[in-house]
Amino acid sequence: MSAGTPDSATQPMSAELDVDKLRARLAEADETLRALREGLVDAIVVGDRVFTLEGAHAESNRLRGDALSQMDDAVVATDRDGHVIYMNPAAERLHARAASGTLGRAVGTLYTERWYSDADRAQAEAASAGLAPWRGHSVHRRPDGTEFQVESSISALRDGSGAPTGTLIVFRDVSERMRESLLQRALVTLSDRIRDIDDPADLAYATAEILGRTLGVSRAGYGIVDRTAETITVKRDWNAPGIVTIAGVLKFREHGTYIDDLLRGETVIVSDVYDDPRTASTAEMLCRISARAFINMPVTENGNFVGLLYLNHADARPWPEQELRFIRDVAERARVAIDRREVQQQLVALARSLERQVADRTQERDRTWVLSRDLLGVCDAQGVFLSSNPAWQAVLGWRQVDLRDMRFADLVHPDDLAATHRALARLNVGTASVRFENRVRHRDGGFRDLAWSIVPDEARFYTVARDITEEKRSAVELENSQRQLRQSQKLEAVGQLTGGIAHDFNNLLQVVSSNLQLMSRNVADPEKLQQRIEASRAAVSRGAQLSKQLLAFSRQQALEPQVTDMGSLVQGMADMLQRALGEAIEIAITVPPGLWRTFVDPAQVENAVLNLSINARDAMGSRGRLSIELANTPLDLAYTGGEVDVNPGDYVLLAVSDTGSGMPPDVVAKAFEPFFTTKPVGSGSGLGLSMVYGFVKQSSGHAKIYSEVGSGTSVKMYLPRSEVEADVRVASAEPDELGGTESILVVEDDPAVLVAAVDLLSELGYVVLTATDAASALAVLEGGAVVDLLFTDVVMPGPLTSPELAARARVLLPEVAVLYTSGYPQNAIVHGGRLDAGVELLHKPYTRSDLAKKVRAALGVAAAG
Amino acid sequence: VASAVPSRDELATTSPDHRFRLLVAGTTALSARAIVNARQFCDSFLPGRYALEIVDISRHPEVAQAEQIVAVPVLIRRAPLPRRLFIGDLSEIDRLKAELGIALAQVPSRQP
Repeated sequence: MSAGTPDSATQPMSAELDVDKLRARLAEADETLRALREGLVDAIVVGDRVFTLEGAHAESNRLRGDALSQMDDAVVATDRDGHVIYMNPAAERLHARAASGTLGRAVGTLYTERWYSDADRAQAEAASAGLAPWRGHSVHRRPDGTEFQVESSISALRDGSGAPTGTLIVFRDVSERMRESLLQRALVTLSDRIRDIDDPADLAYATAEILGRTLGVSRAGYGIVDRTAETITVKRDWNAPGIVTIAGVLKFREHGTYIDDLLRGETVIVSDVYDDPRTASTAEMLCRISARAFINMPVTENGNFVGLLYLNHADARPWPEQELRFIRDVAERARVAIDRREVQQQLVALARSLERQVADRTQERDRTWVLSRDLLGVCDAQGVFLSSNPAWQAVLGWRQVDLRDMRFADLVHPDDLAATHRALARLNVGTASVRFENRVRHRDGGFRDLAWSIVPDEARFYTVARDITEEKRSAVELENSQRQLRQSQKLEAVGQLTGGIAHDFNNLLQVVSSNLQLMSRNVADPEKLQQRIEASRAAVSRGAQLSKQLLAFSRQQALEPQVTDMGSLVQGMADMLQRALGEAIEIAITVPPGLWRTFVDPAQVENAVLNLSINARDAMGSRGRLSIELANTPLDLAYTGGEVDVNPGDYVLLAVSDTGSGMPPDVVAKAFEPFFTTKPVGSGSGLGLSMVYGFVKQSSGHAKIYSEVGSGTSVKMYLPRSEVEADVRVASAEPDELGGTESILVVEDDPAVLVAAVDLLSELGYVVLTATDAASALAVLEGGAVVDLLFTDVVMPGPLTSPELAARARVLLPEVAVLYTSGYPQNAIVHGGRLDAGVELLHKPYTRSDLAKKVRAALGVAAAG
Repeated sequence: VASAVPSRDELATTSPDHRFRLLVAGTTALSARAIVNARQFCDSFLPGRYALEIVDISRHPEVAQAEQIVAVPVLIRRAPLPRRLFIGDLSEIDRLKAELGIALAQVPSRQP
């Protein structure tokens, strides 16, 4: 059964050598077989493959083995002599040693152990010797000198009889965890330290010290960065023993190029300045200031790089992620603390300022309470004034003590009580405040007019009342004086008329007087007498009619707007106007059927018409034609947009036009101004047109004057349509604003009107040519321009008239259509001999749709003809 | 996780007169025991005079082939010649001593 060959001292022969070799191989084969039989083999090699054999207890053994090999904890077993008899893969990893190199050797070849206390050591050794197991912390030092902290559990290995056969040590590396908790503790310490520090500089130093001590670096600090100068200013930094401070101003560029990264907001981490390209050339410089390794972390405020947190170390050193995280945490906490400090300081300042403001306000309020001329009070739900300011006594004579025994209702004039209760009732339905006026009893028994404003707050009411007694009286006086003014205007107008009226009355009296004289002679002739009496009676009746109209006109009326039919109103004035203006002036009144109603004061309309008529008479030198026209006129945005203070909508146009001397533009511009008159002193107050204007504006209407020197004047009043009759309106369903592509020559002397017309026509798609008078328009046509429509103002300066222009145009372009436009109503135009009846005329002001419709109609007619 | 290369740490001994090579198969129970026992035996009876090389044949099967080995664990005595094989966990110390011709006089103390 021996596997070996006997030792031989003699030198064997060559043949014997071969035999010995064979014998040896045979012995080896025998030995192998024996070992296999006895279960001493656990693996067999066939070729390059290894087969692991499994014994009787292999299954449970393997499970145990797998469990141990997959554990994260290191497991090491030793025999009673302290030799390693087992170590799992985790133990191999932890110590960077292979099991094959350690098994059978003293545990000391794997690590040496350092305990934190003698007690720990004693307990651990006792546990190894088979006494009470020990669990605790210690430090393992690897053979290469590196150390790591472990948490280990030491217990005895025992055989079947319970006798200790060795030691089982299970441990894990807790360096990371310990370091983490160390850093966590440092963060807690930081929070504690900086809690009571107010000065940001002290705060920065405390932060640096904790960073430096915790990470064991040579220096830590915080500096203010000047981006432009590329410098850092350090007031005070923390330095490990033996390290010299760098407090002062340092230039970044002298220490490397990493400032570029800092300016981009990046943290610069250098483990060894000799290896980093940013610092390799300045490495010597950095080493001189103990910064062979460093971290520079920018501190930003609102995105701006303002400060720098730095850590320097005299030797090369790695900066693990864990430490970077810690530094960032510290920096963040410090920044938050600094921010919070600043916010706190601001809050303290704000609080002080608020206190002062509250005090000021209170003082102001007290002063207001005492000095206010308004009656201020606080009233409870029962209507009793809990407090009242001195103004109560000044205005109403009541002292605060008097008011305590009265309720609000006791103070109110009996006639105003119901209205006052109604106003106060609104507060109960949730209205935030109410305003009303009533009369309140004075202590002397009289009443004062008060305007109240009351705001409820929980069960109380805060009241402010103003004495408006004087205002009320003033308002009444103002109303009276206005009424008187209106009346005097009317009388002035009547005075203007008296010439004509006196003449009329003289005629009438002449008739009556003559007839009475004749009657005295013809008493005997009953037939003739009857004729005389009839003639006299007719004359008297005419006189009575006339005086009735005059009285009706001059009577005093309240200013009261009402829904008015302007047609019958104006027609009713015809007789009086005719007599007032004289026979030489022809009066034409045009009222279209279906005229809209307006909401105006009829007396004011009469007044306005009368004033305008008198102006017209004066302008015409007692000979000419007065046209009064009424028309339904919608004004659209295209028109109102160019005017001040007019809203788009439906209006009734009242136009009073004459064939008089007209006014130059500068006079037109001032015509509506009060006291502006062109009449000789004494013949007019200059208030006529301004009153017209005031009335129209008061009625939410619009007034406009068109005038041409030598041709006449037209005053247009647009009075808003009454909504009472909105249903009367005839809906215009036409596709208005139908455009075209024809070419149009626009002739207009007013530049603003010309521009507006060109814009509107261009928008409608037409090709537009322009001229500012008839002569230049003709020149355009003679120049060869072909147009489909001539669109011309009727009244323009220059020798050539519009109809003449139209006639000459028709010679050049027989197919050309003509559309006239004018600010004068059609009647005035046609009557003045300016145009033939039946021509196409577009009234100014026209709306976009008016223009589109008329242009289309004119062109359509031309095309058809 | 056995060593990737044959462990040669014992070669530190300056002039070993005994050279051993221990072939194991990973960290099976027998193999682990064989390593422990081989090392204890050498330290006990040949202190400072031996070199022990441990080879994991599951990583280096070519070593098994070169040594013409079929069963592991096995301790091979490479010097002094002649070569000897000891198969098993090497727990039979007396037999090992006898086979290796080591004098009993050199019994070391196994108790601490």
